[in-house]
Formats: sequence, structure tokens, C-alpha cells
Amino acid sequence: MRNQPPSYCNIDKFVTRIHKESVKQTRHVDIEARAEARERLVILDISGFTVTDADAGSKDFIVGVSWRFPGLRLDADSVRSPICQRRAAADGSKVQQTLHLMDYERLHKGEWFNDRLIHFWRVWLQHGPTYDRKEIDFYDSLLFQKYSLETIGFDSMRTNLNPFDKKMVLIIMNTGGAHWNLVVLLNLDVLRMKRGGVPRTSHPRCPACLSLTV
Amino acid sequence: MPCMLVLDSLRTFSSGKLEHDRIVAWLHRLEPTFDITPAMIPMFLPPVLQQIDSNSCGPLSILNAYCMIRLHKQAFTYEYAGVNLEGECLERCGEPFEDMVNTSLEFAYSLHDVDRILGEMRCIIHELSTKQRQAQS
Repeated sequence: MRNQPPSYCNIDKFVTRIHKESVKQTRHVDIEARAEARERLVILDISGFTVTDADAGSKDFIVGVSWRFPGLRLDADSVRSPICQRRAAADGSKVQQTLHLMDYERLHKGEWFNDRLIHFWRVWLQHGPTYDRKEIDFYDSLLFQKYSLETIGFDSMRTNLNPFDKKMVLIIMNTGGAHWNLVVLLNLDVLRMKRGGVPRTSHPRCPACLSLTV
Repeated sequence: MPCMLVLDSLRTFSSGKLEHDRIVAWLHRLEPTFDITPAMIPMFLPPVLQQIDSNSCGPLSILNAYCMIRLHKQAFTYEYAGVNLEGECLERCGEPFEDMVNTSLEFAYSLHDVDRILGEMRCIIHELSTKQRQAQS
């Protein structure tokens, strides 16, 4: 027990640390690209958190979460002002998921999270280095509601869902419009295997018995 | 062991029942050929940290999600859950998944962490906004 870190160590800076780690994982790219990635991530390498919330002007902006970057979906380039959003809409370019910084107010003690905040932090966690897309699925209440209630086009939607190929499915659900909790489905892939189905992955696990004798 | 955990920071006697029904119905709709019943996916309520106010459920849900993501390499076996094949608690164990919540390093957090995490979230949003304004000016 002596070597066990204090209780807060493991999750200390949990939001920022996961993206710090994602910088380390960009070693395979060239120096310029790494420098660029660092430049983008400099805002995430903060550790003091002494920023005050007095800057009310910042609430006029919108943080856009772009789906186009495979490694890092949330960066300075994806932050757009409402004007940029309108321009983008006028140009016909696709505006991706957005979080209004009015929601920023809800990140204070005594406030409740809304759907957009939950959605935002879900996307954020999905892009941390510990998140394994092959093994984990993650839905929030909006997405789950859409998938569970949608009737038109459900079949086509179903092809994009593969919870039965996952070891872990996380769903953040809202109960009675007043309370958030987390539902975790574990080992759903076992159900598919029991039914003799082949996992819809490119590398299905092969049941085998190996005898390694020397 | 296929199962469903409800990590509820405000547990009541009816916690998870509604979610269990909804999710089993959803899974059945996704794969009708599996004939999924509630018994095939037993529900457990791990004794996660309980909130003492009315509004920490949002950050605690995010935090629990983060803890579970970090635990995803774990083999979630019957033994790990502390239950037998019928889903009943083993004698040596307390509640199902109690060990996971109480002894794993991934779940080592306290209510003091909620404020800190909210601060970090605000800081990130704030910094992103500031960066954008610098880029525009």
C-alpha cells in the first residue's frame, strides 16, 4: 500500500493529460508535423488552471468539434465564431458538431450538465489515447435516443451500429430529465460468439488451443 | 460474462430498472435473432461514489466513463465481478463489482475531484475560445 499513489493522482488533470499523451504518440510523423501538433496542443498543456472566468466575451464563441482529424478532433482550428459558422453554412461547407459556450456557464458548481455538454465531453474522451475504438462504443443520451426511437431508416442505421462486436459499450443516460448516470454493457461480443456469429471486424478472434512445447 | 452495470451516483431502490428494460429492448431491436432477454444481460449496481448535492451527477458520469475506459483491458469475468454463474454474490465478496470500484486505481477518486475537474473543463473551453480570438484578430 505504501507505493500506492494518493487517491487523486490517477485522475489528476484527467482532461488535459489524455491529450498530452496523444502528443507523445505522434512520434512517427516528421519534425515539422510534430511541431505543428505541439503548437495546436499548447493550449492543452496547461496545468495551473488559474484562469478566471471573468472574460464574458468568450461566451460569444462556439467550439466546433471536427470529425475530420483522425488523431485529434478538437483543436484551435476547429474553434469557430458564430460569424464563421454562418459563413461556412453560406459556403455550403459542412459544420460539424458544436458546443455553444453558453454551456460554459453550466461548468460551475451548482449547475446541471445539459445534453450538449455531455455530448462534448463524450467526444473529448473518445479521442484520448486510452480509448480503443475496436473494443469500446460510447453513446450519449441524444445518440441513444436517436438509435432507439428512430423508425424511419432504422435498418440502414443499424448497419452502422455494432455493440455486439464490442467488449464495452458506454451509454450516458438521463433519467427523468433530471439525473445523469452511466450504463456500461460488458462483453456483448460474447453473445454474438455464443450465437455462432462472426464478429463484424476485419480481424475476428480465432478460438484455438495452442500447445507450446519446448 | 455479458452484463450491464449502472454507475449511478444517486442510487435508489429502483436505480437501473428503467435503463435495463430500455437497453434490453434496444439490443433486441438491433439483433432480433439473438432473442435477448433481461436474464441474458444481468444488471449490477456497483457501489460507486455517491454525490452529496443535487447536481454533481453530470461530472461524476463523465468521470466514471473515463474510469471505465481506462479499465477496458480488464477481463470482466464472473470472478472479477464477485458473482457466481447465476449472478449471485460470492460469499467472500460484498456487492458485485465492489472490488472494482473500491480497490482499483482507476476508480480512486473522491468528491473533491469534482470541483477540480469542472475547473479543468472550464479552462479548456476558455483556452479554446481565447485561441480562436487570437487567430481572428
